[in-house]
Amino acid sequence: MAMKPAGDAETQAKKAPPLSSSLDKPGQLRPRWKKVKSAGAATSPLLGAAMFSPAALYILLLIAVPFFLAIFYAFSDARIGSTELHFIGLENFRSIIHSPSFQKAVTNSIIFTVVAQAIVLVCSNILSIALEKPFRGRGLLRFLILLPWVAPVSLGTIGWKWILDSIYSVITWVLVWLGFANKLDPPYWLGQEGLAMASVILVHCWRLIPFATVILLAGRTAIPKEIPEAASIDGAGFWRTQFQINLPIMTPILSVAVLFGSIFTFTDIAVVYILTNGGPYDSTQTLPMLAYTQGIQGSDLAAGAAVSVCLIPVLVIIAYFMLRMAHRAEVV
Amino acid sequence: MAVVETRNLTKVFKEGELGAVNDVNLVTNEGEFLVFLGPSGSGKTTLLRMIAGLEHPTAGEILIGGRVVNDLSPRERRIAMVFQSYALYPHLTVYRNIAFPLRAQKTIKVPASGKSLGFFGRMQERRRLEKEKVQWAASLLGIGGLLHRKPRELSGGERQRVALARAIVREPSVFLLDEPLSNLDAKLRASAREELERFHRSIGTTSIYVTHDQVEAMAMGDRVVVLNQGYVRQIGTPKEVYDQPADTFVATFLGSPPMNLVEHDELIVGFRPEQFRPAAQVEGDKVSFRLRVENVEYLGSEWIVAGILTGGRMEGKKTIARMASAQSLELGQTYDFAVPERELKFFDRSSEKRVAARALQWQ
Repeated sequence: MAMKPAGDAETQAKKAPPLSSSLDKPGQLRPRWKKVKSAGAATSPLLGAAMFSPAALYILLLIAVPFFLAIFYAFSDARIGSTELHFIGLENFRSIIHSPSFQKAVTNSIIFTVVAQAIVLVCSNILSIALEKPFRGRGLLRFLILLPWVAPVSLGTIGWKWILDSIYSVITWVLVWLGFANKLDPPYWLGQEGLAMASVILVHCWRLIPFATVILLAGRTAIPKEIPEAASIDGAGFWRTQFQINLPIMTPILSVAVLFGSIFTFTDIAVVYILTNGGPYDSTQTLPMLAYTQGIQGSDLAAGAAVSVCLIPVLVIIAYFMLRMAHRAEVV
Repeated sequence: MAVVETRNLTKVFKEGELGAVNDVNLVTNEGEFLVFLGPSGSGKTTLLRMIAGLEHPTAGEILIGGRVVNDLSPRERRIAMVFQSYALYPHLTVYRNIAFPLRAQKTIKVPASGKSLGFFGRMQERRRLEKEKVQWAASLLGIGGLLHRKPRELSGGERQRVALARAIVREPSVFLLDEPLSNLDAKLRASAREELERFHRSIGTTSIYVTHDQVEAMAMGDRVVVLNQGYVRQIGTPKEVYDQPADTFVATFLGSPPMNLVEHDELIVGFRPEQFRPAAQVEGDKVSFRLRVENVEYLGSEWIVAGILTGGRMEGKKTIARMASAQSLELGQTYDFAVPERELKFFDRSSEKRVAARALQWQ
């Protein structure tokens, strides 16, 4: 039944081309794809599909397949080295939700994201204000500030690993020299729970501040010059101009910076993996890191998949709120 | 209310370049409407921005109400400014836009008798007084019904009124206006101009108004400051700058079509197109010319006749006449034209400055 109308449509489509091409040039039957040129739009479904297929393939093979595979694994008992696979429902989720390391990872992921974003917002705002007005060497400074963002995450983090090393740390060396730390009992930046956490946040900030600064700088330069000028004539000082005029006008672009920054921090694995490997005692464990340790290192593919599936609702919520904020803050 | 004065005010943006504003000396009168008029790049906006405190002068002094304000920030100068783009705060409602200067300058003070109200009571009282003030300013400009709108929901004319209301609400000592009408369409501009004049008459605050439009300058200004390339060319009432131009720049910048200028030995002689008429219509002492008509434009209320002088020492000089009627004139024909002798203006040929009238040999 369903096939018949489709067949009808096909015969109609076959009839149509001779009609229109006879209008073009009577008596000459042109190959179908040539019509596209004369019509000025992709009327041929074949050509359209051909042009579209690389993008579709890319999305399908490299994004959709792994994504749905992960969801599928999350409901199974897949293990590395085992060819058997059973559907076990919500069992994986039940067990990870009750595991202390998962709870710790969720808390840590949220702490890292929120604290790092808060620091990034404050610092990038200050930087964007400082870099807005022209001065000698501004170009060079803008370039230097952008460097941490364009450098590979892993290389940058390895650099930080040396800076925070228990024996060779420059920070410790400076602190000892200044008399703030004991040479014989130095702080173990990556080996003490609180310090390890602070170190991870520090590196995240170092990496994201340039990105946010560039975005905010763009937002700031987009504000017509007369608006802060009008504010200064109306009697507003620096803080009032910033908080009541500039920042509210920049809300849409601010939310873009926060949205990207949150997602980068929340889903990042490189910084934790290189600096602390989630330790000491799970104190810097994050969701992506946990997914990796459980799924790949612990051979429990299903559990790892379940952990990473737990990232989805969080990211969806962040994205939803940020986009709504961006939409609501309309600017002339 | 206050008097604005500048002394040798100069602004050079880049060292070694020509100054944007050069050695400007002027004093406003109390409650006056002073217009800065000049072509683009004449430094009129820079001059205004220095008075506002948005630009720091390279040299010279600015005085407001007798006090040197060079080192005062805009907020300390007690001025209000309306920008060309209006610069309304896009994220705030009309009400909050108008209330912004009140809150920023903490203008609203609860009287001492309100001490018993307590913290929240005083806050409420402050909001009530603020509301009164905003409504007063809004009703003055007829925008009382728009207070809850955002600037993007307003028309150009309404935005301009909001900008004016925001400027007036704090009762400033000086009003600065930077081409506030140039973003309006031609029809609206005429009515907004009239409204602005009425508005100035009713508040009587000293106002400085920047424009490149000579019609606005002539219509609104108590006095007009004509600027070119950063120099003041003339300061005077609209009548003075039109009838007694100080130099050839002022003579040609004001008036449309501009003053006719013809060279005569060491002098340049100028006469307005409306004074250049068929010889029969000119009475008394006059200077006669022969004009070959090249082009005639009908503009409804008047005719613009462009032609070339023939014969005598003015041979080949292009001149323009503005006449009530030119129906009888034919293209390519030569007619007798004349200018009343008292309407001739004389300028020195090298300095282009105005010089005293004198008798000349015309033939």
